[in-house]
Amino acid sequence: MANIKNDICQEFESEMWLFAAAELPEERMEYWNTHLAGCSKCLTELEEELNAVAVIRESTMIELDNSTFNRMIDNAVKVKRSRIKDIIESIRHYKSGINFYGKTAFAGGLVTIIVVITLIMYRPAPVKSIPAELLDWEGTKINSEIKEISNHLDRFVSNKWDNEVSDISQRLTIIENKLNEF
Amino acid sequence: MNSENEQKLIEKCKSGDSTAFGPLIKVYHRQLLSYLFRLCGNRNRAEELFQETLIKVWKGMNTYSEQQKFFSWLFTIAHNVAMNNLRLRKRDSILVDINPDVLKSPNDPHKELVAIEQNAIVEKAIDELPVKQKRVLLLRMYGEMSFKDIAALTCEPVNTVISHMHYSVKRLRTLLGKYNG
Repeated sequence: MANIKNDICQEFESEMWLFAAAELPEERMEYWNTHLAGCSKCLTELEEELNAVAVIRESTMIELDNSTFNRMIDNAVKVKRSRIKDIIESIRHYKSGINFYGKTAFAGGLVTIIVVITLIMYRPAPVKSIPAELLDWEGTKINSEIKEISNHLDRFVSNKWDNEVSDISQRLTIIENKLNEF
Repeated sequence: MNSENEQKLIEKCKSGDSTAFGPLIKVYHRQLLSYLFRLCGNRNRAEELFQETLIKVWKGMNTYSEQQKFFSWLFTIAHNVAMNNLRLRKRDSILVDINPDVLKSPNDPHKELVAIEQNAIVEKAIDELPVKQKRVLLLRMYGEMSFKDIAALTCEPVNTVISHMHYSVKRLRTLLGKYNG
């Protein structure tokens, strides 16, 4: 019996903080409430743990005095607004005075000049055109070269075959004479 | 502060009313500052981190949703600010900052001395806890965060978080018990 109670108490120890934080399911909370009603050891243990944390918490808590706190709050809320304020102020400042349109015109003119200068300086080189007579001369020359090569080939082919045929017919004549002698 | 008043202040802050920010934070500033101080160990740095937290909270007010408790949301921001800062800089050696409120015993100087000593021991004991145990203890003690939220924030299982809490409190109780004799 004592062993069973010890086991239950050990089990409570492992769930004690969840119980203290009320983070257990309802049935489990009821179960432990019932156990604590009959177990002074667990109840004392729970109370001492919670007291220890409370004492440590209170004794180690620090705080800011009002003026420091208010100064920090002012610094925090200033950050978000000042950016928007700065943008609004800079636009207002730019637009102020009679020179606003003059400034805009000057800036526009300057940009135009810069663009024109850039286009002039980096103009791409024009494509060279070849004269028509040169093209015609080149074409005629190429044609004549092709014709000559063709003629050479024809001569080569016809000469080669004529020589071959002549050679073969000579050989045939020799063979025929030999056969006749035989 | 009851939740209705808090909700009104939150709505005002979201709409840009900076006058509502101070009262909204005032309720929680002790816990936030104490938490930051226990993490970094230096009063001045804790105040810098607190200032940084306030700036982030104000700028991020429109991102807060009622699904999460406002205090938990505050604490999450403070925790992240502290973690980022501690990653970049080495932790200072402990300067034990005595809480003057605890020490006010004008009629009993002996009590005052006892309080100073006890406070110093407790603070040293908290600082000597392993980092993970200390983090859980501080989040629970000052932030009153649920163990489920602490587990989500520290990326640890709930059972591990409970275990950290259990061992850290046991250790502190043992130390305090020794001191009190």
